[in-house]
Amino acid sequence: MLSRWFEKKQEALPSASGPGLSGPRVPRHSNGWSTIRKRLQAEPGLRVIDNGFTSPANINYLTGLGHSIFLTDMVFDAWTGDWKKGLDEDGKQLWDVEGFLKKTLNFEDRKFDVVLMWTALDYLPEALVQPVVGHLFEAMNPGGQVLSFFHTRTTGEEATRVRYHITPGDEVDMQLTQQFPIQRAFTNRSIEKLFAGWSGHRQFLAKDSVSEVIMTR
Amino acid sequence: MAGENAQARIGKSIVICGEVKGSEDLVLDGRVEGTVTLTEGRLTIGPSAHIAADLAAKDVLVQGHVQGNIIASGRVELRSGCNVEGDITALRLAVEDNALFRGKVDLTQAASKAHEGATVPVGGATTS
Repeated sequence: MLSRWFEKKQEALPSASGPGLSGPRVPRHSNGWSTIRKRLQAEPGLRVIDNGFTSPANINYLTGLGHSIFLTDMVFDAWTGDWKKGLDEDGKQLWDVEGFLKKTLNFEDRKFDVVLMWTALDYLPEALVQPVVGHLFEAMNPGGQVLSFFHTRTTGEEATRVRYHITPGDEVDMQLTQQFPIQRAFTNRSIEKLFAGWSGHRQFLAKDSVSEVIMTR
Repeated sequence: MAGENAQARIGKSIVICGEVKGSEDLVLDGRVEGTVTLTEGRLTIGPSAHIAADLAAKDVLVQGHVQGNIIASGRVELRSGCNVEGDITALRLAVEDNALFRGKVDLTQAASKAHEGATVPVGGATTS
């Protein structure tokens, strides 16, 4: 269904493509973004992490509100960087977790208030998932929030990786981005386990195959 | 003959390794490695430019390739087709579609300090 949306829109709208992004933008209602947006509009001077390929829309919107932002594309860095360290005795891939965190998520002494994770946790190598969440926990102010999207399926068009562009309203625009294999479909229980120790968990159901979660530090 | 008001420009074939300093507007179309500091000027990185340097100016407009940090006391603009890898500290930031940027953006206190630094005259005199 997703690819049909993009194909249909391609005929109707001018494409907004660039390296790492291709094709038209397709709007999607997001209760999670709506919730985070209200906070961004109400509180000045927040520090935000936005994950994914360069999104001028996201940069301009967030900086227009006076917030500082840190841009990273964890999935791209994980799969294209030199982080594989060979195999363990069971034949399982080993990863340079510390090196990855130091290079990709080098926050220095900065603490953050909002993280726009989007679907990154579905695509990261298994060895990096928990360390990334732990690293974010350490780098966030109390009350900091992570907006994360989770695929409910790992096959079919629903597993297509897209970039989410934020808007001033309750929608986010989806745009095809560089594809990497989806690694997992989290269950509610596995999400809770991943974010064990965080103080809040709010889930938003959606009509498509992507669920939205806001975790509070 | 260049007029008195002609903008300072470093052409496409020029390569500079070191420090570029000034207090007027400057257009860079060549290659620069090092640092570029304009205390009160507008810095334009042309579409053919390849810069591996930290940049500091009042306003910065980027159309080419920059690998380095950008500090502006005013506005930074990333135009379509540019490629910036580094951190940006500024009062305002505008990014066009098809601009590629990787790094941190800080519009907070560091921008104020940069503004104060930019208005101090080079070799400024002090009074007792």
